[in-house]
Parts: sequence; C-alpha cells; structure tokens
Amino acid sequence: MRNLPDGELMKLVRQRQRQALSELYDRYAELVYSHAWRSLRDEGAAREIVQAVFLRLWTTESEYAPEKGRFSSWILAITRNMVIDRQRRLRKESAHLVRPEPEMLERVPDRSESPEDRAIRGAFRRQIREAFRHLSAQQIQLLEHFYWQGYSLRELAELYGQPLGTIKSRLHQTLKVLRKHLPAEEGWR
Amino acid sequence: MTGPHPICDRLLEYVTGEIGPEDREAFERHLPDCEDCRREVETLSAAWEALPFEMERIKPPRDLKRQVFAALDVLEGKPAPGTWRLAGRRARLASAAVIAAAFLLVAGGFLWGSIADLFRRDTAPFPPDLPAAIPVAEMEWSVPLQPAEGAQDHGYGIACVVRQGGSKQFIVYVFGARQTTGSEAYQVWLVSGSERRSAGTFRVSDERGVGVLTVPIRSESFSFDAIGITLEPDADGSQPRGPRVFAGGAPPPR
Repeated sequence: MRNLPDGELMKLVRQRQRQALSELYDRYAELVYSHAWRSLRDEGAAREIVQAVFLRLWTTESEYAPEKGRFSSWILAITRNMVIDRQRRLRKESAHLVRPEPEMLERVPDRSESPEDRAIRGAFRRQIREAFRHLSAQQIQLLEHFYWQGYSLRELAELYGQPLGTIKSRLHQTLKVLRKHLPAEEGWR
Repeated sequence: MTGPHPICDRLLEYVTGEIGPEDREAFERHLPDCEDCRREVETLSAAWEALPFEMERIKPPRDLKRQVFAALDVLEGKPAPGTWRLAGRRARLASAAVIAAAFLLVAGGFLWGSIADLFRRDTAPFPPDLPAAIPVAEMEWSVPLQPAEGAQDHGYGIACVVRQGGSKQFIVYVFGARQTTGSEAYQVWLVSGSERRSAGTFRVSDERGVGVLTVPIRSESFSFDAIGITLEPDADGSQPRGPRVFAGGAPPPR
C-alpha cells in the first residue's frame, strides 16, 4: 500500500479496501485539515470537514482522473467545495451579508508542524509567499475573500460595489501576477 | 481576457470551479480551437492550485482518524460492540409525532433550505453544480426526537434519511439544545438489538440551539431500534459518558 500511487489507492477504495482509504488518510488528512482550519478557524468544523471528505472518497461516484491533475488538487477541490457550502450556509442563516474582516495572511500561529514537514514543504511555501510579495494588499484581500472565505464572484461584486466584470479581471490579473512569480517547476504536494 | 468565442468570457469561472456543468462542457469543447484560452487556463490553473500551499500545516488531532473510520462503520452498517440501551418507550410515539409535525410546520422552510444546501455539491466534487442541476431531495422517513426522560433541556429534533439523486444521507437535526462549550459535543447513538454504535458527533454554537449531523449512507437497509443523543465531555468517546438528552424510536417499517 505504502508504495502505491494515489490513483491506484483510489481504485482500491472503489473496491472497498479500507486499507487504501487508511493510506490516503495518512497521506492527505493533514492537508485537508489544514485547509479547512485555514478557512473556518474552528477545530470542530475542521474535524467535520475531514470526516466528510474522507467519507466522500468512500462513497463518491466521480472518479479521480490522474491525467487531469494531482490528487492533492483534486482532494483540495472537494475540501474547498465542502468548506464553501458551510460558509455560504452560515452566511445565509445569518440573514444578512456579513462584511468579512480584512484578513491578512499569517494570522494563524504555527501550531504543531514537525521539523521534517517544515523542511520538505518549506521551500515551496517560501516561494509562494515570495510571490505574494508582488501582490497589492487589495489583491491579497481579494484572494482571501474568494479562495478562503468562499465568497462567489457575484457576492464580491456586491460586497465591493464593483461590476462583476471588474471583479473578474482583478482576480484574473492577481492570478497572473502570482503565476509569473512562481517557480516553473511545481514542487508542491 | 475575452477571446474570439463568447464562451471565452467564462475562463475565470472555469479555472476556479464557479461554473455549471453545461458551461463547463461548452468551455471544454471550445478549448481545442482557442489557443488564447488554452494558454490562460494553464497559467491561471497553476496559480490557483498553488494558492492553498501558502497555508500553515496543522496536524489533525490524533483521534480524528478513529472518528472517521467509526463513521465509516456506521456508513457500512457495521455495529460497534456494546450493550447500552435506550429506555425510550414506543408508547410515546404518538405525542412525538405531534411534535414532529409541529416541527416540520414551523421549521420546514429552514430545514429544507439547509438540507438542500448540504447536497449542493454532493455528486460533483470538482467544479460546483448550478442550483438548477440539483436533483429534488426526498425524505424517505423521519423519526421525531424528544427530550430524554429526566433531561434538563427542552429541545426537540428529528432524525431522517434524505435521498437526493443517487445519494442518501442520514440527518439528525436538533433545535433548542443547550450550546456546547469547550470540547463538549453531542453524540448520536443508534441502538440495534443489544448493540449500540456511534453515528457521529456535532456541536451546538448557535443561539437557537440548532445542531446538525449528516452522514452519507450506502446501505438500503439502514435502520435501528432506537436513537439516543448524549452530551459528551468531548467528541472522542466510543462509549456514552455524559447524560442522554434526546431520544427517539425506530424508523417506521417500510
């Protein structure tokens, strides 16, 4: 199991092999948990998201297609969708459009990352953060609202009082600047 | 950002997953003929997929894996060992049904809206589905939940199985439950014969005392003899430790 690529493990999960799901959990639970925590800032909610994501892997009918991209991107897309559902439901229940705090990056304390993990992933994270230095405060806030807080493009247009087209070009531009300053080789997982 | 095709305008929605299935297919169909979009998709996707990797990594709590696989047991209908039983009485079902009807009448809109939300992306984890593409949700059965005997709280709730498209979820909803503090959590127990298994945990942080637990289920024969909800000191227990606050009977025979 330990040597199998993610795609092969997902095929075994399709065949109801728990050990394969267990291996995927060991590989990706931290990624999913960190992502949920980053968005929701709530341990209980992050736990629920992790449980829902891994149960989804077990029950989902949609296949992971390795040729379409990394497993990490796929599982994070599932995670983000679940997080967004939760965020949008909470916003709807609160009955009015809550103005989000202008969150900046780096608010979360580094809680328990192991030295090995830090060494392995540190280099790429540094490169991303380096790329963020080329963004304006408004661009970083736009990513915070759109990517992490789950505001839709339309909600952002309303929130910022700008036409939808403007929001889209700002986001487009922001991603282009980031890409320009990211390393050509994508060394993350 | 707009290329030679009208659909080029949806580039950003395509990359970020904010696109419905029809537009997504249309966008993918046009890609082979549109070099501009192919190049932009590649550029923007690389940045988009790199975004989460700026986050700090936080190790999940150690017990979380056990919780996930215990939930998997419930999903697969495997009972956990145990002999704890609920003291609920079928004789109270009639009044419980009245409570459930009132509950549905008062909270129906809220409940259904929230349940619909739960399913929004249930079948397509990649780009989100448009609301129009969501299959109709249908409740297969429901069981009213009422305060357990001797319980201090005066909430009420419902446990139900909802089918939507190809997926099914077991949903437990409570109203008027005391808010949880710190690591406290409500835990849902399903009793079958002499066996009891945990269906999961939830917290209540809402002032109205609203709590919800959803568990996807596969088994056609998902059932139980009784259901109980306890208030636990944390979400990690495999045996009930805290007081029982809600109770309900078996699902109606089908």
